[in-house]
Amino acid sequence: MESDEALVERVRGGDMRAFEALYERYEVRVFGFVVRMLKNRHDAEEVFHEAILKSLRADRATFAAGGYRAFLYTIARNLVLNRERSSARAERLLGGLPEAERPATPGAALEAKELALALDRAVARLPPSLQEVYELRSSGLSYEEIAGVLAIPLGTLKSRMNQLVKILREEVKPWTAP
Amino acid sequence: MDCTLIEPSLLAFALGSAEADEAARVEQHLVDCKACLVAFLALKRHIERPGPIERPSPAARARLFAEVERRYGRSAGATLRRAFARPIPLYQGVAAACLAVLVASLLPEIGASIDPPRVSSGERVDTSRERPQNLDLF
Repeated sequence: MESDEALVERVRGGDMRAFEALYERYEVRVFGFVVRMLKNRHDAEEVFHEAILKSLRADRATFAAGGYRAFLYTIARNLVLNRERSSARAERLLGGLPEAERPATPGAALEAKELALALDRAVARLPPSLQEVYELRSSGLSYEEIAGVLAIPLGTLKSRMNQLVKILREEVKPWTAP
Repeated sequence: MDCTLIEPSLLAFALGSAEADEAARVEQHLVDCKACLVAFLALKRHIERPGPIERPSPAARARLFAEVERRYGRSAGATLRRAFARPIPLYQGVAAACLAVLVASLLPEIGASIDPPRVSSGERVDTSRERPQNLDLF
């Protein structure tokens, strides 16, 4: 399989088939990460669009250290943070908007679907610094890559991961406890 | 091993953050315990693919592809746009200016070499056509 870096070089040389291959590799994962962080499809599409274009402008040296994948997630994450700051400012001006609540399934049996729902809710309630760790991990990034994207030491990341696990474990206990 | 001892480690194991000895215990337990295995697989499935698959809309996808094509595509228009958008290195600009000056200075000489010859009266003679020998037709 051709490396991401080789595909980027081909895209910059005008090869649109290389772009299609690169896009298919990251469309679901990166867009999924962005839309879950922003919780707004329109904003997520704009951020994803910008992240892809920015990532193509960089040269090999820029993403040599962590690779193209980590670089793309770093850009996406920074754009998400910028967008969140802008919308937080807008919300303060508008007096805040009510958050859409996912309806609970009344009287539901203990199924994997309920566990997934519980996990969804728990993740949504995490503080942003822990939520992004979870989302990056579930996007398939290694710990080294996540530490690179967040620009934090590996030790700090592991500490956040332990906090995250502790919180989520309590939330999903009803569905995982024997 | 008792499931109550394994359950606290299931999520960490699914996230890949369990310590080596903890992970080994969980792994061993999952081989024999169907209930814990089901719980672990549900967690793992959600972690690796949380929620419905999200993709940008077809319109957003088309806009991105069009933009990439415009910036990097191999069409003549895109190539020209890139050529004009690229800044010219200083040495190339200087070399082009020197060449232009040289050509401009040589132009009068080039022009003189293609001018028709002048006769003593100062009148130019058009040598492009043969003159008729006898103009008296009657």
